[in-house]
Amino acid sequence: MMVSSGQWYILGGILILGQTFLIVELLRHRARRKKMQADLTVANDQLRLALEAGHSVGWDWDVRSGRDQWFGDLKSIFGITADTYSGRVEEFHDRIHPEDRKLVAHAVAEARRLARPYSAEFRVIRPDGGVRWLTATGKFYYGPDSQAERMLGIAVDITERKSIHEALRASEEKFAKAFRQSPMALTLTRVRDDRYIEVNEAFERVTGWNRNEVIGRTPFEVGLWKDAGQRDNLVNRLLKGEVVRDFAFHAKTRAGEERNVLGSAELIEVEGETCVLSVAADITELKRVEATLRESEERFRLVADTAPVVIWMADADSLATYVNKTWLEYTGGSFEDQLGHGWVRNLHPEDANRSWEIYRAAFERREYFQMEYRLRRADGEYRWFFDSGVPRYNADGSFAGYIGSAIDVTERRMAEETLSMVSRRLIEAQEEERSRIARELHDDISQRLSLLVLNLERSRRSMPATLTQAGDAISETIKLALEISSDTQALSHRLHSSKLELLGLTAASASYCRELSDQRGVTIDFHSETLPNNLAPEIALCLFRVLQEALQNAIKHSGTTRFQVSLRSAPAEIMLTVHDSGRGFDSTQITRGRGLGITSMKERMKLIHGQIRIESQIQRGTTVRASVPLDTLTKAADSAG
Amino acid sequence: MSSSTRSFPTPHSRPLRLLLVEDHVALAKATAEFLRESGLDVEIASSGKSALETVATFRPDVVLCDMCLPDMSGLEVVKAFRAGEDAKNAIVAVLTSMVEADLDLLERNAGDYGVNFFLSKPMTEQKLDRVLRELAEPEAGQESSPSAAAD
Repeated sequence: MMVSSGQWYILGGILILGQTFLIVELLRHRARRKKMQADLTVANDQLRLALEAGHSVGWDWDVRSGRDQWFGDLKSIFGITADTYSGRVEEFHDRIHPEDRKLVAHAVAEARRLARPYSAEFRVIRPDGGVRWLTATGKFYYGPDSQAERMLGIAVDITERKSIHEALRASEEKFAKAFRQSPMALTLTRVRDDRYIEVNEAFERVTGWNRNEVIGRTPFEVGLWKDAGQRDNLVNRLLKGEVVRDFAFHAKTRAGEERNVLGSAELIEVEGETCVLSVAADITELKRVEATLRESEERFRLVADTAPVVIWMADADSLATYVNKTWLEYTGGSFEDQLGHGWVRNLHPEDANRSWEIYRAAFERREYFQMEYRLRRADGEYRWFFDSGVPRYNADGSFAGYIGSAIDVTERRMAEETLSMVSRRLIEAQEEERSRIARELHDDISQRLSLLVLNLERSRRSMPATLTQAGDAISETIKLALEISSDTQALSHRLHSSKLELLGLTAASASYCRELSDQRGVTIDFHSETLPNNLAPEIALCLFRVLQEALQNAIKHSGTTRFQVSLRSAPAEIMLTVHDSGRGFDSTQITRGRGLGITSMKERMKLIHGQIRIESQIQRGTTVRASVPLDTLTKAADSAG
Repeated sequence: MSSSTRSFPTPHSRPLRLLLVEDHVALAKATAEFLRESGLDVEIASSGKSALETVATFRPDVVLCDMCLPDMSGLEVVKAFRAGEDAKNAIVAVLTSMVEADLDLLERNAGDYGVNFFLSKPMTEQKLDRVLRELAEPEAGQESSPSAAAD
């Protein structure tokens, strides 16, 4: 073939052109590829960022080689701190939660076999032990030989969603359980047609209706509600947005029994349906108890108001909450005026503080108390009342306050006072008589005996020494007369001790103790402190008599031979104590048998405004304590001086 | 024992002067007779007041004083004696009708009252001997002398 030079040129030109074109094309291609590569990188980064932001990972599994490449948010899902990870497909399987491995393997195998999209929900375990829920979707790619070559996919972390869902499910379960097991009768009814959707066990128990018998029916059909209007009213209120509480109505049980029911209701949405959720409690028993209580309360009021005694009640804060009609009629006050602390205003001013103290102190200790006070009658006269109160408690054991009663003891007190006065008169009279006899013995008999002795002495002196026989007889007579004289003096002193006035209480007591221990062969330990020297004679006499009486009693009854007597002076009082460690006695029995001595001691102490306490325990001995307050001492001393 | 003339030891040549303070007239008289028979110069006072008046002129060596007098107690009379001049140093015996136990108690505190003896009634030969012996031997027996008590 022949080619002309011109042709060569053309050919060369074409070649050059072609070459240039090729180079240009190559260059352009390279640039394009570079751009493509850059674009791909950008795309990759974007995918990675997208995956990370979405808590997702992607994978590319080369089925033939087994190489598995992961990318995306590897850190939060697998705990891998890298953007991409290359590993074996088995590694991935190891990271699946053991319980889910089978599931995943099965889903993968199915997708591969049937060439269908793969999808699975499973858990993976991170190296730190954290568990993540993943939902994965993927797809297999097949070669010309229809063998799977690659699998690409994406997995999203759904742990949060899952836990919310779990919580929701749990709460629904809990609600359902609470609904079923609530001790209150619960029902769910449709507003549209009043039909029961659900009832619980308590409902079954209260109504006697079985769940299956009522579901799908209305309360009217089963005869639970008698009054349809009442229910309409309830539903209308609910529809207006009210939450109905403590709605009382009558319900009929399956057995036809009427029950008092108290219910609350509100509207709830259940699967798009407006329903009434109602809670009801059977209060029939409560009502009955209430009625009984009211009746017993009424009975109490009736009894209290017709009782001839005062009855009162106070709450836990010591405020009076009730006084009966007797009190109101007596005082002429209104009920309201007497409540709280109002009642105290009716007490005699001299008794109010003392009584209030007793009342308050008892409240603090929650102890039984008793007190006497003068209470003003409507006409202004004061009469004596004996009041006693006991703490009362609620059913749960908590302190509820006090209940008490009071009676007019004016007559008794007057009788007591009369008796006391008579006793005192008797004591005074006895004391007077004793002292009169003592004086008589001392001033007359004793003096005459002295005279007799003197005359005998003188006769003996003037008698000739030769009359020895007569002299001896006179001496004998003198001796005898001296003995009588001495006995008379002793008798006089026993009757009325002038030595008390002469020596004072301490010395007289000491002397008496010594005398008595000699006489009765017992040991009396006498201890005394310096007593005020302005002790009034009647006080000294009273304490001396108490000492005599108590010691005589102790020697007679205690069965021991050792006794302790002490006279002490405290800043506010003088106290005499007579103690023995003998057989003791029952303190409640003291007024019997040996009553007179004790009565006389008590009356004597009353005369000088003193107090006497006798404490005795079987086998533990007896202690008599007599005390005289000092203001009485000075008062008595003043009146004596 | 029975003798009408008795001699007591005395620092004076004259008979001893004894003041008897006793309100019981018959007893006073009998006691005085008894004492005079014992050789004493006896004056009787029937009250505290008259006793105090008598000592101014009589100036007794010995006083026998009853505890219970119509106007004052024997102890008050003694107190007044000790405070004054006329019977300041006299031997004083107070007669009481106390039982022996109480006499002991009084005896123990006799110094406080300015009394030399507390004697139970009635007066006897023996008791008189005790008192008059004190006059002869003032140191013997008593813990405190009347003058010490008076001061």
